[in-house]
Amino acid sequence: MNMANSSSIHAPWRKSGPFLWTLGLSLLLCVLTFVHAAVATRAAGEELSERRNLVARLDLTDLALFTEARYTRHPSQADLHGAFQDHPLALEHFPTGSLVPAPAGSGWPAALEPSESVLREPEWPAPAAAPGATGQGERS
Amino acid sequence: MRALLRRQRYLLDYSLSSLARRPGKHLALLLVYTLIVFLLASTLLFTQSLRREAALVLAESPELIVQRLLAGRHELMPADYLHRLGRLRGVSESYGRLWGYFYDPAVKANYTLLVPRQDPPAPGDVILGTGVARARGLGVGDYLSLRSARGEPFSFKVAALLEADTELVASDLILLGPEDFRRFFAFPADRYTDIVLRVPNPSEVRKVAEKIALALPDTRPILREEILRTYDALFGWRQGVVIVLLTGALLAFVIFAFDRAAGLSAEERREIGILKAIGWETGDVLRMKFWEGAALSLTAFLAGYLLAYVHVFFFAATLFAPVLKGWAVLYPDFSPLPFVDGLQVATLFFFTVFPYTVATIVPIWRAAITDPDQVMR
Amino acid sequence: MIRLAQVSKVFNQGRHNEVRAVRDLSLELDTRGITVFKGPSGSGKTSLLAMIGCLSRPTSGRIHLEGRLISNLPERFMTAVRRDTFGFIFQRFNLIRGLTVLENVMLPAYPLAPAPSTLRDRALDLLRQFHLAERANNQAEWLSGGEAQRTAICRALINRPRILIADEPTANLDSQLSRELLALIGDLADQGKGVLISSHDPLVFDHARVSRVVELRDGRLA
Ligand SMILES: Nc1ncnc2c1ncn2[C@@H]1O[C@H](COP(=O)(O)OP(=O)(O)O)[C@@H](O)[C@H]1O
Ligand SMILES: [Mg+2]
Repeated sequence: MNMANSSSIHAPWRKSGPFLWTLGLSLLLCVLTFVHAAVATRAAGEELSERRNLVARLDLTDLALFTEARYTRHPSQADLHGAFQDHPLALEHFPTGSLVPAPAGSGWPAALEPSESVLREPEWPAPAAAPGATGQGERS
Repeated sequence: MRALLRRQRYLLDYSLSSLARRPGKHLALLLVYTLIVFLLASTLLFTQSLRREAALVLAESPELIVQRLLAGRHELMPADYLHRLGRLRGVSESYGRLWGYFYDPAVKANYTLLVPRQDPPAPGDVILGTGVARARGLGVGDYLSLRSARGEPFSFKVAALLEADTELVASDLILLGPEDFRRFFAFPADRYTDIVLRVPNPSEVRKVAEKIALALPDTRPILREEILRTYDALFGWRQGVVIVLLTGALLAFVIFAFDRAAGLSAEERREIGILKAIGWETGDVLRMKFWEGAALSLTAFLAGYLLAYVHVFFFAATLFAPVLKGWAVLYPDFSPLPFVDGLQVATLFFFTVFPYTVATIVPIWRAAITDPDQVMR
Repeated sequence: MIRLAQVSKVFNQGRHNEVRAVRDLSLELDTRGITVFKGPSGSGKTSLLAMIGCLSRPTSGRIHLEGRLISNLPERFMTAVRRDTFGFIFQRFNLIRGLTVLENVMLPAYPLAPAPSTLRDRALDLLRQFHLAERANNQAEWLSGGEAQRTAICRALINRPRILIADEPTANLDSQLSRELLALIGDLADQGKGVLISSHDPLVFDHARVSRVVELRDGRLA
């Protein structure tokens, strides 16, 4: 057996070194996310005020996030006690909602299903029906 | 103090070696944990951003909107209600709004048609939200043809597009003049969709709403604070569902960790015995295990949070788009602004790092307090 | 000087499977030279060494180390005495799997937290002394029996204890390796360490350098 001098052992015997470095770096990045958040939201001031101005000018009341159905488009204008307020499968304000299943088929509520016959039918959509935000009439 | 830190670092050394002993298992554990934190953090960051955005932007909504109810259902608002409302104290201005929905079978999208109060488009002209323009492939100068309520085709000239930055509130809008609106929908001339009341003094809004409820019992006033509350609750609720689900996952994970550690293998017991026999205190063993749990959960938290931040604010929460879009065709193309709630992040930190760490330490306790002479046999 | 006065160790006291491993043992031991506890399996050698080494407490009786009572200290102080005074060599080596030889050797010093470079140099010196230098970064579980036992000795020496306790150190070694081990232990005794060995291996208690043999039978001096 020959003598090995201590410099021949250079394997990283302390695993905590790289770990702590990575940890420190990640923590720094975490702090940076807050800095980034502060800077970015400040920089977005103009963009924000553009949206605010449009909301003020057009008397808008809702975000255009849920455009999939008429009755989801303006949650704030809807009757809070209407059925299927949020989504056909959503939790309801009232227990009844959990008993009525969503319509079968493609997932589109039947009244929204566009079909050839509908396109040919001149009465559709019936002008008498209120295009109100609650819009539950077609579905009940 | 130096010695104290040095000692902790030695213990950490040991914990890491101990983790590295079964790299596959611990890497898988770390991955699953990171994924859970990532999903949780993404949900938190995204909904928090939308919530703040809604609160900031919708603060400009009308203070009071009055809807008509007929037999408990939403109805069009007769124009003379404007007069019947008369002059209420505190109301600086009142006017009827014209807006409605239109389902466009051509692209299977719902539009919101709306008549601006100030400078409405000229007859025959429309101004489009960018989402509509994108869905129909239209630019300024093009013609938008829609089938009216009576079945006649209508052609509108696209006079302008709304700013791309406003998509979050205006993606599906079609702005048009009042005459066009009424003709297109066959909308009765003496009706509005609803009525807006401007009440400059916030403390008077509630009073005004009460007066309206008395004067016009067949109407429903909607307060701006209700709008804001709706959005707070809406995102809170959606966030809540996801959080509940993911917390379940987190809990299962912690139980798994606890269960695994509770059934300490003979080998692990022996290892603890060896450490104690060669001079480690019970406290050292527990601290070492603490570092093991903390190293894993801290790494998972940091990686999960950082990935979530990048995902939500640099990649516009791409993974969530399908969930939020639902069946919507007109999904606004927007990037959430990084409104980060420090308390929320701290809460997430606490709930991801603390339970797991405790779950790794507690079962060790029993093994660590036994006498070490067992390793002699 | 280690003094034992009427030391007993009873396992499962008061139950049907009660075992009196050590009974009323009184003894004085020199902390220099090599002392061997000899006796058949089950005679209480391990139990006795465990009590002397502060790994367990006597059921009754007292143990003094250099005049200081060590048999009824609270856990923390017991650990401190154990860590500072004794180095252990176990029959089954008891190295920790998955760790390198170097890490295994340094383990007993972790709670004392010496400067990392000092500790590392000390460990490497020991490894070199026991011809293990190029095994330093190998995993402990890949070592041969002799290498593992020498690693265990390095580990026992890292905190520079005054007394080495070796429980059946040759039980898992062949005769050749046993002789080498005894030579190493002899060298350590020459350097001034006290060594307490338990064994029923004639190679051990007939060894030339052994200064005293204590024979045990059924937990008593034979
Ligand atoms: N933890 C224990 N629980 C019950 N009995 C034990 C325990 N440890 C040792 N013994 C018993 O004590 C007696 C002495 O054992 P030990 O000290 O290991 O003897 P030796 O080392 O001489 O073989 C044996 O009969 C053994 O079975
Ligand atoms: Mg024994």
